[in-house]
Amino acid sequence: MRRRKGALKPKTLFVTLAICGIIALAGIGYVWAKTEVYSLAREVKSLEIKLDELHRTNEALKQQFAVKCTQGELQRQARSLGLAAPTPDQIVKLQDPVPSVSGQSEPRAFAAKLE
Amino acid sequence: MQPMIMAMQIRRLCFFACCLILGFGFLGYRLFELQVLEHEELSEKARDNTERTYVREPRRGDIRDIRGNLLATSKTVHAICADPDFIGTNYLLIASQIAPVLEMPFEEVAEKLRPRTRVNDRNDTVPIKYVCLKRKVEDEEWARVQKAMKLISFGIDESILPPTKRSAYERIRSRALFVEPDEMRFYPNDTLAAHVLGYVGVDDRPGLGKVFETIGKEGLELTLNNTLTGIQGWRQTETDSRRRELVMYREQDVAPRAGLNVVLTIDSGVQHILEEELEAAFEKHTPVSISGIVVRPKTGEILGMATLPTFNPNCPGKFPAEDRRNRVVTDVAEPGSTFKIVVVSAALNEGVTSLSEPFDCENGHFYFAGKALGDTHPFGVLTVEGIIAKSSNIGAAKIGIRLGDEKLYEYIRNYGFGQRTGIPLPGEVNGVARPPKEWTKLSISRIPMGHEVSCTPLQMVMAMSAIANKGMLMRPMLVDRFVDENGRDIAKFQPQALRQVVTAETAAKMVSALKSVVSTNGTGAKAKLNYYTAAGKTGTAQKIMNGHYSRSNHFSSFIGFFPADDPELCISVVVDDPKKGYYGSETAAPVFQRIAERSANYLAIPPEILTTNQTLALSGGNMKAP
Repeated sequence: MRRRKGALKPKTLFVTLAICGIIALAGIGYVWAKTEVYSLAREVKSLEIKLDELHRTNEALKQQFAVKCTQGELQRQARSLGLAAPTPDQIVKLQDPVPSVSGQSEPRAFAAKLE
Repeated sequence: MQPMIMAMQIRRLCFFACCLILGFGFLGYRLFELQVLEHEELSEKARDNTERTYVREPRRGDIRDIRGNLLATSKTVHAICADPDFIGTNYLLIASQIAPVLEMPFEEVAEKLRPRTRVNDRNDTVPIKYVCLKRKVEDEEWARVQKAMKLISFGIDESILPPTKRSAYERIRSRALFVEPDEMRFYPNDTLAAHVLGYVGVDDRPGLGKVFETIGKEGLELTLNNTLTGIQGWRQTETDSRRRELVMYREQDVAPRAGLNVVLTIDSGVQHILEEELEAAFEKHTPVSISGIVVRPKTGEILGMATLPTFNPNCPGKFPAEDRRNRVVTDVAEPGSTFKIVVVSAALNEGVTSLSEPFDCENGHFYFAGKALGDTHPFGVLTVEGIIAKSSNIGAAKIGIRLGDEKLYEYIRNYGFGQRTGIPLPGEVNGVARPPKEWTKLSISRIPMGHEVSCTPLQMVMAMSAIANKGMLMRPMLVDRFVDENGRDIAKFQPQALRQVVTAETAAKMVSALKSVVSTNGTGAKAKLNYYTAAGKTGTAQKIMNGHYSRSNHFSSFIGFFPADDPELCISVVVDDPKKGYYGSETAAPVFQRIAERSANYLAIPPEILTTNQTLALSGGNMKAP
């Protein structure tokens, strides 16, 4: 079967369609990439804003905590609970074990004797 | 007919061709004009419209006490700004709406919003597009301002306006005012250690972004300003017509480096005790001022430093300048009898006398160089220890005379008088310690009792600390370390020994003499502690008023340390012109006693003088209580 003169060759048609397809895909890809960049940029910005807000909340909480921990505030709270610092005569201090001549503390020296 | 039609068609074609050529020619010329002739100007305008360079402010470092309690910190807030050019003739309306919300006078807001022009760097007159209405605005206040802006009525029914005009009014409501990030310094403890911390202020800053800069104005905020400030970053980016950043066009983004956090040697617990006791004494004696310092003599670390009247660094402008002055380092006064420690320790160190040597104190009247010198009470013969215990001026003068001018001056300088201590606080003064060639004949009898010399309370407490520290003079230490934002130590400061002023033996003798001051027979009996042996010295100096020593205005002080033989704390209390009682023993010594006992309890310093219960506990319960 003879092909008509001037008719499009399948190979040429395929190449043309391929080129068109590539151009169309590139175009779509370009638009998609641009849209992605734009949406990611918006996401980055919103996350940055959120991070800033969290930093600020953190700062505010830190400051509230600092205010609650001030000496004046603690003293006021302690007084309202009926607490007071002990006087030195109310504090009982226990003496640390005195090392024996051999350099061992008394319990160890006693244990050594038993052995 | 055919050729005529052809000719007409050709003419029409030519006409359209000419129109097209002219049109494209015009467009081409316009393109050339825009792209070449006006390129510079237009590209700059385009850049101005979209490109923005933001300065990214570093966070100012925190100041903490030695236990990590926050003393000063920074809070991110807003600065409300406006574009007067955009607001145009609506400025009076907007000012009347937002002035009450901003709690600012209407006139001030209106003046700021009034459209004006300025001359830029290229000598062009341009409209002002940026004014700062109010700084340090918190979220809630900015929300109120936004709400007020939304409710603005322009006096016309906007519903009948075309959409373009309606949106113009909407744009004014939403875009006339905007916020920029700002920083507010916050002192959670209000007045606590106010004179040590100082405060911050704003300074004009030329250049990009904000026109204000937070800088230290007083105290450590000033001296450590560079450390606390940090390093700015910047961001070069583009924005859309609503000032929203287009992140994808961000070109440069350099993060700021936060300022270092400063950890002080101050202990807020001790500082609180000190301030509370000074305040009680201030109310009782109504002096001009009262100052106190708590030092660790072995290291020179300052645990507390306070002076009253004080101020709140959160709002320093509400207090007079004299209340904001740190009198501990800026004010000098004749120290009075506390200065006797210098002459006596010098004489003991030089071996010209001993603690047990008797001196005739002339029953309170001693004539030297034709002038009389008196004691508060007539004393007969007193030993050197007795001279210290009873605070005899005549005895001290006789010791000074025996020591001699040059030696006395040498020790005065060695103790650090007449020179700055080097504490990192602004405004520290040298004090006055004149060399012997400038002395009069009387000087050698007056200097030993603390006249003709003047010093700051800090110099005096450091001198006493030297005696407590076996004769070694330390540099006062206020900053313990610098820490970065991740908590890593960047610099750690060590105690600095300046010089051995007197030998350890001499210092021990002085401690023994100073213990006798804080005894029933000494002048500092009211400084006696219940659970510790204390040593110290009282001082009462007449103030110089109009060039003469006043009989009614005094400078009373007590400087002491405890436990006497192994001192943990050295405490100074200085009362300037007390109205009820004037002796240091009456005014300052009881304050020392209360500060010492409370601080010892807070710092868990083991008591030296044990109670029956404690003795029982230490002996394992074998002893019976009486």
